[in-house]
Amino acid sequence: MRALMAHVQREWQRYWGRRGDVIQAPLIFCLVCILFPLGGVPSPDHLARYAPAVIWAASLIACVFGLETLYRQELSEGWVDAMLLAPLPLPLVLLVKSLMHWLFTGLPVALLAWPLGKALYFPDAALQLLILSLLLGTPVLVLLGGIGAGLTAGMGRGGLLMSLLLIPMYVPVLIFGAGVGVAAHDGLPATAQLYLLACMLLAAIVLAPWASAAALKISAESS
Amino acid sequence: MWLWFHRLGSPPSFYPFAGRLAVILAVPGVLLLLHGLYGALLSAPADYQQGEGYRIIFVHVPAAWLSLFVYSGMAVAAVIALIWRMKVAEVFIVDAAWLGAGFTAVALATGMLWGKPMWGTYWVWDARLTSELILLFLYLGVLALDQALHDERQAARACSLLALVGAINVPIVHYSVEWWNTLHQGPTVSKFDSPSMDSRMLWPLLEMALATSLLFGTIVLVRMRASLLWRERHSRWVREMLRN
Amino acid sequence: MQEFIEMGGYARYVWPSYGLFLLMLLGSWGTAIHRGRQIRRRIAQLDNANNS
Repeated sequence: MRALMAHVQREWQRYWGRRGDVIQAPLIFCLVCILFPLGGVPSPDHLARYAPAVIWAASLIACVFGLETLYRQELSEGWVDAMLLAPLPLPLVLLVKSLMHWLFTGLPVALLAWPLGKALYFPDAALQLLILSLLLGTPVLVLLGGIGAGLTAGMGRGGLLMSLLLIPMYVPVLIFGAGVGVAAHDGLPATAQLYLLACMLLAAIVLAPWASAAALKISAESS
Repeated sequence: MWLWFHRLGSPPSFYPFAGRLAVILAVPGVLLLLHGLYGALLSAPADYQQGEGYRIIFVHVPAAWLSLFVYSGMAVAAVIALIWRMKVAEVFIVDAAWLGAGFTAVALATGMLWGKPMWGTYWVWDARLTSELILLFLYLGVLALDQALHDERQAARACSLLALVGAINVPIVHYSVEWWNTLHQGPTVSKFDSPSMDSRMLWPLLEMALATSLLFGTIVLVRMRASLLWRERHSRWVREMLRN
Repeated sequence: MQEFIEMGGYARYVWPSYGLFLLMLLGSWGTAIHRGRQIRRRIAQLDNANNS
């Protein structure tokens, strides 16, 4: 337990130390959201109709961009080898790492969705539910992303390949996450979608770290 | 049984076995394909709603069926490859992925060609078409990962893991797309849902599906033989066999 | 015969479907065999290079 706390603290310091680097993902999120009104018709009803899709697609893209930094520095520092020998099991280490990564990339995205949703004329009551869906869904994106990042960790330019691997896997999260926004916008209940997202989150917390650990081990094997 | 399984897992004994099996599967595969094509194009009567256009089903359904079947086969092979590190299973995953991607692309293309006269448009955001499209990207992901990793052993293990994760994902994608679809789709799609098929239509369909599966077996075995040779190019059995 | 080719007016959709299906099956079979030959040749070249 004490080892875990120490590990959490170390991870916090790592991420705090490179906050300038990590914050790029939320900025990408803002930029992608801005592209849609510029590329389409900036009238309130058009934008509000598509706001859930825009916000979710943008957070997906931002998440994939952010994941590139998940293991990049760690590999060059020999962090992976150190963690393989550490007293904590690797899946637990990676779970802590994913949650920390989410704190610095996913959480800002969910918070930024508030002003951006308003800018897209999305109604307030629905926006609250949409943000709840982001809070439940973005950790799933990060946890699943750990698998893709682990598989491509050894490569020089794994980012492009990682997006190709991850985006198809993100489809269910997008469907239910944006589904919350669409239902709320139409005044329909969105509880079913929120429960499904919560289910995905629980499943991802339990299963994804194991797969990420296996992926990282495969990447570390011969590099 | 276990011993037999174990022995086949080693490339030197799998290689000749695969060659024989490929021929054994190819002969009934080709015969069934020819008979199935005859049945599909000539002996099956025209559909009373869709006319002759429904004949696309005889190639569309086998391709779509194989696209799912191949992915589940890859998932089984992935488990074997990750637990027992069996080379034959590792090779199967990537070689099957090539064919699976092909079947998926054919299923999509024929689905679109069927959709144009029946739905009036090449593409509708129908649940099955959409999840098939995502399946295509899952296949392409496996292939891209294999191409990107230069170490063959590492590439095979990475692809196994990805195939396994993808296999867990396929049903989730399917059901989520279906749920999304029932929410947004009008009732146009079910217009052609026939309650039961005439046996003169059903038999060619089953024949085509079986023939496609057999030929998939043949082709994947031929591919696997080549991949195994290359993977084992430094080992003695390959050298000795090629010298003779 | 003419009737068969016309496919009740659906020829534009039916024949490309069958064509693509057969092209995929036979094409992948052909490339698989070709790839096998190529790999045998490459290994033989490697072997020769090592021996000489």
